[in-house]
Amino acid sequence: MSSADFLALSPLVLAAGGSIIVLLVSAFAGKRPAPSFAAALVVLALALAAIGLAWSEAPRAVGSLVKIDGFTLFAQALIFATAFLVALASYRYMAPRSGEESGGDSGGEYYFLLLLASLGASILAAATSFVTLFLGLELLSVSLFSLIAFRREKTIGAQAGFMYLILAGASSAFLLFGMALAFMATGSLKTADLAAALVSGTPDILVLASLGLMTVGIGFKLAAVPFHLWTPEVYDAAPTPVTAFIATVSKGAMAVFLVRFFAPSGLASAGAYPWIFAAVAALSMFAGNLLALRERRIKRILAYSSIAHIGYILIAIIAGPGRAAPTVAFYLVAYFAASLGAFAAISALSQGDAEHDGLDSYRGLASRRPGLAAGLALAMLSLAGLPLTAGFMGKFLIFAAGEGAFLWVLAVLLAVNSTISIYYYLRVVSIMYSPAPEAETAAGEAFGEAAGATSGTPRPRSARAFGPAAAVVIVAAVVVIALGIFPGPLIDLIRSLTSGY
Amino acid sequence: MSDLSSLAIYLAFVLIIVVALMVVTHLLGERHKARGTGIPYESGMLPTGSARLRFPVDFYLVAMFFVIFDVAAVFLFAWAVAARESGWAGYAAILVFMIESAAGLAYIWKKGAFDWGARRKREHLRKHGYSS
Repeated sequence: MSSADFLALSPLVLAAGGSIIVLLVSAFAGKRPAPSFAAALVVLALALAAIGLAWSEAPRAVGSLVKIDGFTLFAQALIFATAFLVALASYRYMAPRSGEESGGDSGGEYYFLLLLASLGASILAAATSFVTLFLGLELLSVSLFSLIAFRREKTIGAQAGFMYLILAGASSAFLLFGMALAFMATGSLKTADLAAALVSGTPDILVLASLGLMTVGIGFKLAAVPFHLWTPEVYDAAPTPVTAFIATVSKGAMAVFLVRFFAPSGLASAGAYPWIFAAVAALSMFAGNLLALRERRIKRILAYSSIAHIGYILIAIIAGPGRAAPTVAFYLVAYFAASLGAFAAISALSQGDAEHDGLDSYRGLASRRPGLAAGLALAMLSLAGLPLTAGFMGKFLIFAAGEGAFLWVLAVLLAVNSTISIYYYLRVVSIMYSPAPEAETAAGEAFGEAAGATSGTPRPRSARAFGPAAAVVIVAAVVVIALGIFPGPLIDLIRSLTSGY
Repeated sequence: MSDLSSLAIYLAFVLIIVVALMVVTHLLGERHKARGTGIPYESGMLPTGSARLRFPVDFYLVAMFFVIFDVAAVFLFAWAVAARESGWAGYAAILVFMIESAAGLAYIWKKGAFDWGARRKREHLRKHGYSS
């Protein structure tokens, strides 16, 4: 490896080395999570800054394992920035776990695992070989098992972590078997070789089987429809900032990998493969939106909403060269901002033991916490894709990308689904802005009976004060509005970065 | 096809034998239902307590650490046989790996995963307000 290779990989190297330091800080620096938190923020900021360093070397392929180019660096910057915001949103939320209540653990490992998961996602976004694909995926999944089950005092978290462990293990087995078949058929572990084998004439049955098996593994990670069953349970039981991480980074990295696999090879317009993904996209959109209609818990609503959004993104992924990468990149930014805003608002509301999850506990929120309610409402409107928000521009771009060829059917389905989804997004907004019922006003700050909270205990004063999670809500709101009104500069930037796709 | 048909005959025989053994023992086997049939020791003492004991978790921890550092040793051996050929690049790679293993070791040591037995239990009790 030359020094140029190291420069190109410097964000990954920094994140990897920094995660070790954060781990040691969490063990040696006292019983408070604050030092690990600060160290993780510094490492993430350094990794973000190193993206600029890597940009001077792009595009550069390091061996056959990873290729650092504009699109990859954009995705990595997005991943590290999102992880930074997730860490901010976690601080107060995870705080009750520290100190005496947890038997002396600092809880700083949380930030180590978060860092490791974002490292895995960044590797995934740069992978051009099955080796790095699997390495990144496992780094991401294994960190997520522990993150989901991180609040050990709650059985439901351990349960969800275990569920994710088993399902991710099974899907990894599918993925590995698919890779083995691909290696058997093509004699190479490069993803481009598999794509070439698929495009050329009539492919071998081994190649087809390999693609089918890998679709299972990839679909699980994306939570696309036949493989989505884990989503509501895990979203519901995981700590809210971790849910935000799963919804954004974990899925976004896989979407970026898919674009890099599909777009340059011309696979998107070859034979029956796009139809498989078109079917998955349509199913994801409908299942996600229809299942969300009757849901009464906001994290589950967002889980189903994320399934629907993966359906939208899949339309863009099969839109073919020249259109897939810019559309997906913009949509990911819009979707990340809106999701982060929503989950950060929920985290800001549910500090301490009371998980602010049931929709009923949001009744009258606008009069109690007007700022958070506005941020959450804005995130919901953006997820619904209403004009003047980033979500609208994202959906518009997907619609524009999908109008060619057979994709117009999907574009129409996208419009239909957006209409369906407005119902449940706006329901959350209308509940927040409707007056609180008498009983609840009398009980003052009694939150979340549906969430099983003890409504008698007074809420700690600090939970009401402005915290880092509220700052994340503001950042997300600013991004959502800025991209909704003035998307031009970002679209131009993305176009110039993704010129190779 | 002949190899498949012989496999089918083989499978059929396996099934027939298994089923026949089960049916025949079911029909011919003797059955008795005395007072002590259901308990573990028909002529010994009566069992007390539940079979589900709580084992100290330290055993599992040590077993896990053994596996982890054993795998580290596997990588070291793999590097050692090719140390000369892999040159300084290989040395740098194994060095990074060893530093990470050492960091992991420092972490679990500091977390107290290696102090087990009476001392740890006493500290735990003291922390929770029981003075011995």
